[in-house]
Amino acid sequence: MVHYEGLPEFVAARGPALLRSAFLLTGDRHRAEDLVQTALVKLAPRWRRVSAAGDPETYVRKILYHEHLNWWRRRGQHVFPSAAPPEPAGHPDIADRTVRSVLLRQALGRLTAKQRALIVLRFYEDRSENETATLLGCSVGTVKSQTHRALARLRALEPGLAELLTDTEIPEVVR
Amino acid sequence: MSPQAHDTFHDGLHDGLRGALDELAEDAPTRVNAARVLTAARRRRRLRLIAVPSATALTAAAAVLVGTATAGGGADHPGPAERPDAPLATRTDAPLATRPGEILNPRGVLPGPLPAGKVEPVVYGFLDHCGWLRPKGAASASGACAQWRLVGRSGKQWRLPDGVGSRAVKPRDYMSADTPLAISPDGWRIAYQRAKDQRLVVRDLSSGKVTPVGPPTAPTDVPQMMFSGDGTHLALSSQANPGARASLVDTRTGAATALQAGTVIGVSRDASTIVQGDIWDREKPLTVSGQDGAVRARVRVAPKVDLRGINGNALSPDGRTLLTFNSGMDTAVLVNLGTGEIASERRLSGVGGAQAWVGPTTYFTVRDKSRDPSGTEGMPPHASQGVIVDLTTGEARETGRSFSIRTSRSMTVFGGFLP
Repeated sequence: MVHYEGLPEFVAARGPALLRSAFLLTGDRHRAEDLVQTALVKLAPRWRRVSAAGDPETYVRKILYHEHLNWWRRRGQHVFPSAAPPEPAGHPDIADRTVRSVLLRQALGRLTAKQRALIVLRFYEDRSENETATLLGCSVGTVKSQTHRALARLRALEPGLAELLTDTEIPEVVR
Repeated sequence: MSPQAHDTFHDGLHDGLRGALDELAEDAPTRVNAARVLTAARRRRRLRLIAVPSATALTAAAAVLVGTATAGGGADHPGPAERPDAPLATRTDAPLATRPGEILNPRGVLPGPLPAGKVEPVVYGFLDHCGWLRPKGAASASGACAQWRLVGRSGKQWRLPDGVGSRAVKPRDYMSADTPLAISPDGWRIAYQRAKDQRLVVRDLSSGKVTPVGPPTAPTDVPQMMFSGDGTHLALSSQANPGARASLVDTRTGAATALQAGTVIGVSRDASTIVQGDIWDREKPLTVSGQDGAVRARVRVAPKVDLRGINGNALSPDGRTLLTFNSGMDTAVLVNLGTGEIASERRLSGVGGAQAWVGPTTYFTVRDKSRDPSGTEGMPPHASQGVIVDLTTGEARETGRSFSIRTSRSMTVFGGFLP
């Protein structure tokens, strides 16, 4: 138990936040739980060293995002099994939180794993481009261009979300 | 979410998307089991330690692994609880513990009474009238057999000794009738009729505090009860007289606010919005009120909307969307409460009807899991299972354990499905 001293407290304190990110990444409660569990189990052997360094959350989030990308690579697919969007009678009322959540979840599910990770890091966790690049192990240029493409794809997939994304523009970077 | 540094493009630009992602994330699970993480980490460590590259060592390691895995499994899954093997109804002072899959009302055993103080959240309640135990010819249950039985999240079970459960219908004792009980969505409160003064009360299971929320009432007139998602309020609608005024009670203080006449069909998570309506009359508009009872709007739903599919708290947590179903109960229909129009529809895979919303895009309902009774000796058990249906996909996933009771007649209630 000495090995893991402080780990249960960390899990209790930060587990819910990790689950929320994992849920946005996977779109599925069970997969989110599995993803967080996998990341924490991988953190455990290094817990003493990582916690002594003072920022275990960044460490475990890095594992989380890499596991997420690896899962999808291993599965050989990059998009959620797509459920047909609901057929609204007329235009869906995007002001309605429930409808908005439904549409957003479906649209996120059709992005690639990396695009979803970028959306979550940049717009949910409010990470800077530099931090996002470090966490995903890619260049800042890749973060910019991929984020632009992810937003464009969200707009194309679900025009009903345009209002949400109006101000969410990032100039495309020519690479 | 920890505050992070913003870049040039980020400042102030993404409130819409971020807010929407925040809302979506509300549907995420809320708790990581630290014990599971540690167990898995230790197992992983053991596996690494015993991965010795020699056949002899490998064989020995396999033996060790089997041993440790068995021991670990024992730690993860506690063994069966000891239960007295009593020939007749044996009342105990202890809660009855039941493993998943076991019958909740084994022959001849009655659980102990609900303790007066704090207990765990309750997820299921039932009346079985001691169906196995009554002597032949006795029509109505009495005593402990007539009391509600409550099952906690861990599987522990108690009787509710101070509540009215099953009762004999007077003047002739030829049948039993049941008095309802409600469990809040978080499982921490129950509402029932207290036997000693026939008042409707709410018991806070986190403290044992019992708060009266209504005047003495005949058991036949106990109103229809609907908890808000956070359990702080209870909406009461008359079952005997749908034209009577409903009320909204603060479960912490017992203070009541009068609502309009009509049945409450939805209460938002924090009870800031209440919807009343007659699901059988398409012509009547819905009444939307605030927590103070003031009417905010009367909404006429689109002719295509069939409200008869409502059978629980139909209002979304944010108070903006009603959930009903088509007449075939195979399609969920989301109705914009502001306009009365259909916002979207979702075909379901085998689970229609909703007890209450769980998150912004999910709802809780119950699926019957009783097996085909043919070939079963004696009375077949009635099994039910809570499921959470995802409105984005139409798929259902089971949540919590399934509950099996063996009786010829029962009344059951689910709750505690919110984390």
